[in-house]
Amino acid sequence: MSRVFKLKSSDNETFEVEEAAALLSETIKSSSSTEITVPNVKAEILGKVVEWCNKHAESEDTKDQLIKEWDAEFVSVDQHVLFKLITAADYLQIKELVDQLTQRVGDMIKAKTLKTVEMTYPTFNVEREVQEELKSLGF
Amino acid sequence: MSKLFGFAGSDDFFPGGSIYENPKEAGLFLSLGRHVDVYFPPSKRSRISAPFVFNQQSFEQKKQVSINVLPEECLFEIFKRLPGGEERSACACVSKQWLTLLSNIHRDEFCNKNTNLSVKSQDEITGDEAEDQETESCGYLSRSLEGKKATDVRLSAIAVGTASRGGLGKLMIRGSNSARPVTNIGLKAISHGCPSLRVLSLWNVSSVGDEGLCEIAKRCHLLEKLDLSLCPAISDKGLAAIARSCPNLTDLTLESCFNIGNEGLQAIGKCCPNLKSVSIKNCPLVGDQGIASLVSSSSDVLEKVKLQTLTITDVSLAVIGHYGKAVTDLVLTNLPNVCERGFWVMGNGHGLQKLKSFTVTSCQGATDTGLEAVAKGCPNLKQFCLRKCLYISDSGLVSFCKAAGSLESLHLEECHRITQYGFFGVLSNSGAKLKALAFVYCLGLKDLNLGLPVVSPCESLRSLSIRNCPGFGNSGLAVLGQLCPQLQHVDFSGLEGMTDAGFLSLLRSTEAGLVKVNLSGCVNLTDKAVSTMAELHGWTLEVVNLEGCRMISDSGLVAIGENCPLLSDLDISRCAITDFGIASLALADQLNLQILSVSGCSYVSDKSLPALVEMGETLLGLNLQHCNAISSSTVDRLVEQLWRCDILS
Repeated sequence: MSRVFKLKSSDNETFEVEEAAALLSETIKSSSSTEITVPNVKAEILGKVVEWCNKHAESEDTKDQLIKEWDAEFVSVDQHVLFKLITAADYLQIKELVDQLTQRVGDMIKAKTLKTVEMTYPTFNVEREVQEELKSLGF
Repeated sequence: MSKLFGFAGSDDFFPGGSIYENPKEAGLFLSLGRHVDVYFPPSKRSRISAPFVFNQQSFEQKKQVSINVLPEECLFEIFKRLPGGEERSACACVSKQWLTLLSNIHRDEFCNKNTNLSVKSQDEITGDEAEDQETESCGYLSRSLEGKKATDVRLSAIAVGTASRGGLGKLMIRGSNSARPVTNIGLKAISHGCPSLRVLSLWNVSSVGDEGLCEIAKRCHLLEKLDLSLCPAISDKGLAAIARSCPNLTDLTLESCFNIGNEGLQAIGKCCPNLKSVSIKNCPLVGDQGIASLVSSSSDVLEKVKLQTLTITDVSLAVIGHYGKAVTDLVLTNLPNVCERGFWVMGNGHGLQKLKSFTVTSCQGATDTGLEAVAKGCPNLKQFCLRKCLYISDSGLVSFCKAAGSLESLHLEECHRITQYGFFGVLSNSGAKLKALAFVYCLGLKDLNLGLPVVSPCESLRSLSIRNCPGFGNSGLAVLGQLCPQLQHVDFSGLEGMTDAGFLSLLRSTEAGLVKVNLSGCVNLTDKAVSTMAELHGWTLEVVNLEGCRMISDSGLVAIGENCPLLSDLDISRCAITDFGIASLALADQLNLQILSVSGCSYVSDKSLPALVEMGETLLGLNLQHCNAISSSTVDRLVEQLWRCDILS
């Protein structure tokens, strides 16, 4: 008889999660009650995290090609959502989700060039030193 | 799938119409092509979901802050997954926080290959990444930071940047930025990013302490050379940490490290089986215990030992004399607590069988007895240099030379007790191997008018230097000529007492040809001496230095030009030469000078330009400093025409 956990978002929406899915989260695992409030995470995001957990609780083999494709689509969101997802997954301590999301950010950074990054921040003395050093190495 | 795209809320990035106020900027991003968000079909507006894309000036909404909602651990996880050096460098430039996080990731913690979640297919992983991994471990690069540039931030940048460009092998830090000095944090970053560090040199970095050195010890196990100078915050604890973790340490240099003492050295001795060279200067806490344990533990490998301004006593020398089986070079300077007995015991320890080079400066223990014992105990001693020693006497010097049968080079400086008795005694009593002899600033070396001693000449001596010994003059030179028939290199700088007569007697008695002659400051020499030298030894002369010989004029130069085909280096600074002399040098067909100095010759004027240009065909270095009669336009023309030549003016 599996327990049902209740996750409450910051805008007071509640999601019901089966035990198998819920226990993917270390935070939930170590919590004494079945009702957990996740602060600073809105329903929209919490919903997605729950969706991920449900999907991953269903299939046991995470190396399955279908799951991989599903995961790849899951993380293909824009940065705004991605960072919120990471914050939520980090709070809930769902290691694999955090890994996937951070890998995605890393990949997104790879697609950019140094010139692009430079343009977004004013050049303080701190960065000038760094840029000098990195330029001398051919970056 | 539509769920992924249909986000509620306003989409602030795309207000409709062109994204860019300035259409030119579009080019930068649209060219990114398929690397970006491949799931979006091209008909949709391109959503470039990257953290740093937008120029602040183009957009009112600043979305950059959104990545900063992530806690540091998450940023850390993201950085660990950055695929290559290019990306890490880009992130390192973003902010100091990012730089610090990046610099604390150990090089091996980077997950280089994408996980099964990769959006790209495997063949999109470029050659760059493979290269990154190969070159990472080698430690090819060197960095030297000085003063203002030496900051923790720069060290962090180095840690991040060098990892994928061959790795940092040598790091030298000289002084520190006064407002933002190098601290343990900077060294910690280096230890994370540069595990292949081999050489670390810290000079005058008072803000780095044991903690920094411990961090280096934790991760840089390939360290071979450590050089700490004026680092008062580092103590035995830091040094011991290095000792325990860096078994490849071969060179250790400690200077003015006031908190390093015996324990640190003991640890080094115990844990570093490859220690070849040790130099310790002005570390007041270092005593006999440290030196003794160091030398005795490294007995089989330690080759070079240099001890200066320490409170060590005879005990240390005794240990060196017994355990220094592999020592080839020994330098002892300013050891006030070492007495004659120390030297005597060292020589009688019979351990210094491989000692080739021994230098002693300002040690009161360097007496006749002490030095003779060393000579007897070190059968392979080839070079001996004694400086600022007031105890050694003529007979002591002679006994030394008799005992040191393998001696090839002897250098005495500021040993004022030595007289010409000792000088000639050396020449007549040295073994058959003495090749080089030098006496510098020895005030006792005055002419004694000894007359010719009945001794056999020193056939092996090739090089003789008598510099700044005011009393040495013609009669000494006359005897010298008889005793050293095979001289090739002579240096008589500053011998004001030498006149033509003395020099000529030497020139005539040397059978071999002189190759290098330094007569700088011999103000009493005239053209006659120079012409005779050119005639007698022109066939072999390669280097002639007549700097400051005020009486040398054009006729001397003419003789040189005519007779010295091999001459490549000529210094006639502050001689009384004129344009005519320079012209005669240029006219000498067989002369191919490479280095010429006419510094301070006020009579060499612009008229010498054609001559200098002609010589310029072979000249590599030309010194025209303080030539008042040469105008700057002439110098400019010379610089233009003599492009191969390095011109000083």
